[in-house]
Amino acid sequence: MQTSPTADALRVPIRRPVAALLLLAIGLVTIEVALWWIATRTPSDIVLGLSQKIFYFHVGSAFAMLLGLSAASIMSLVDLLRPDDRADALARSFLEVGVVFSLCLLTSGPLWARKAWGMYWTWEPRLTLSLLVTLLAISVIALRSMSGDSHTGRRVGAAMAVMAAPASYLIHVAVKWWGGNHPQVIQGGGIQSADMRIAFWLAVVGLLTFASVLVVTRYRDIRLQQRAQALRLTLSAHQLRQRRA
Amino acid sequence: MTALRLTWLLLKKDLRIAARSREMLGFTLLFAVLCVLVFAFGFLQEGTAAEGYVPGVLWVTLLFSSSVSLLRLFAAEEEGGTLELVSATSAGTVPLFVSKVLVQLLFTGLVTVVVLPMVLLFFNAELRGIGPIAASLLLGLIGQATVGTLCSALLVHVRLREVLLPLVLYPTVAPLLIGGVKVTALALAGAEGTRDWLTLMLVFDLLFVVASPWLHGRALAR
Amino acid sequence: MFRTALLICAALAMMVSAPVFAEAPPAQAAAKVAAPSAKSGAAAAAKAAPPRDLSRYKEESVSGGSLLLAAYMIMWALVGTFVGRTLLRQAKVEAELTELSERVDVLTGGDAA
Repeated sequence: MQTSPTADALRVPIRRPVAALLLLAIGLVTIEVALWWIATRTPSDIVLGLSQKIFYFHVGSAFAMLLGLSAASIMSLVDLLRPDDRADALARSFLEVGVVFSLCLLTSGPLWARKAWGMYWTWEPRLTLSLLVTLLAISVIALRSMSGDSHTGRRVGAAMAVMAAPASYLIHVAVKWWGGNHPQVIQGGGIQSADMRIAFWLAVVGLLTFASVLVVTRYRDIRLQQRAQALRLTLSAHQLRQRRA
Repeated sequence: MTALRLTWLLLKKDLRIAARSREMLGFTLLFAVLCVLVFAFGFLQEGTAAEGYVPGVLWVTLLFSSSVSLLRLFAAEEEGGTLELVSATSAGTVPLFVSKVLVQLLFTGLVTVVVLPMVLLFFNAELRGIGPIAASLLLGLIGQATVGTLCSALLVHVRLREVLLPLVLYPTVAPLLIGGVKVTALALAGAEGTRDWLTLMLVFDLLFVVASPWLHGRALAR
Repeated sequence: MFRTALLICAALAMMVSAPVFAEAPPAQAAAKVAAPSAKSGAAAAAKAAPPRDLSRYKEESVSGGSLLLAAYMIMWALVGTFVGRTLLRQAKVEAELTELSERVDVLTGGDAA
């Protein structure tokens, strides 16, 4: 029989993810309620008009991106310290879902800014930060897909993801000092209408739940791929042994 | 063999290679000069240099030419299997990493010595505030060399590494670029406030000088 | 089953979210509820913005509603693309797994899997 890592990967279960399905239902219902709330209960802004309503899912995506990419860095560190197929799969899932939501952030942001600041893009700290961090994350994903299933590619990708974490913090400091005018809605206690607060939290919770379902789905996908890889290895080992015999 | 001695040997080997075949250094310098020229074509209007481009041109040229030399930094190691051999010693991979950072630092230092006067000359600027500028260049080059060597080392066995290297390197060193441009601009204008930016660059350097060899060893040791 | 459910839910979410906003009355609603929102988060955004000449932007033709619609459509499209790609990959890897385990069974007489 094959030895440790392969044998471990061979036991990847093909379970029907019932918990994920439940989460998906909760997430989607919350999102629908949030959408309904935003459409009917929240006020339009005096200056921004309807475009202010981008805000709810815009900030939700920001949360999802932040959590996803941080989790990806942490799982990469775990994988680097103690190689584990599950940590690797989780890191990759978190990274990809984080990038999906950072792309949401980067497209919805400028559309809001068009009305709020009169232009699609300014070199404002958080915009710059999210753009740079997204580029870093995309290049880590590109690195992983360039290096295929190789052991080195996996280690190198993990190291890059770990490196990206402190780099992102320093980028954050640097671009903040660079100056800017992003609305400090959360820190400043900016949301004063109760309806807006409810809509905001509904959107955030719904989006985060949905994002975690995406992570679970992608995780299962990667685990199955790892299992297929393990099977392929077993197969070729057997063929080799038979040829020798 | 002690780590220090191994580092020195590896460094000496690289310096000897660089001294015997001067192409790599020559090409990097040529590239830097061309880079400044291209920027001049891009930014000069009606024959006169526009104000305020010096910091940006200087730092972007340094970043671009550093990535040119980074692409070939581990070429000999890849062919000769140095990484595997060095990993087998008791000193681990750190000596290899440190020697490569030093080589890269030497390359980019020479490029800076050539590029700085050229930029000042082409863009009609007067060199003022030499202290902060020198400090920012030192910190910037150390940071770029460290992160650049890490990226270059990690990408040695990866397909399309020439494309991936800038993709990873440029966002990561953005704080150094922003800080360096700010310090240079402030110093050239004779203004205060360079200290905060230099501190930021110093923190960046300290962080990556410690983290990079560790990450390198972790990722590539067998 | 899981794949189909996920796909249906994603499609549903897209279909529901789009008309909700398409039906929202654009300009009048903005004017009507302007007062309570004066201190809203987004107004704070406008306050935090640099002292730009706002009058120039008030008259321009970009409607907030269309920006909103575009933002939500793009976001759902992005998420939908990701979901679709993941599902396609899963289908592929599951088919591959079935085939591989069959081959392993044949080779080993069933003791490997």
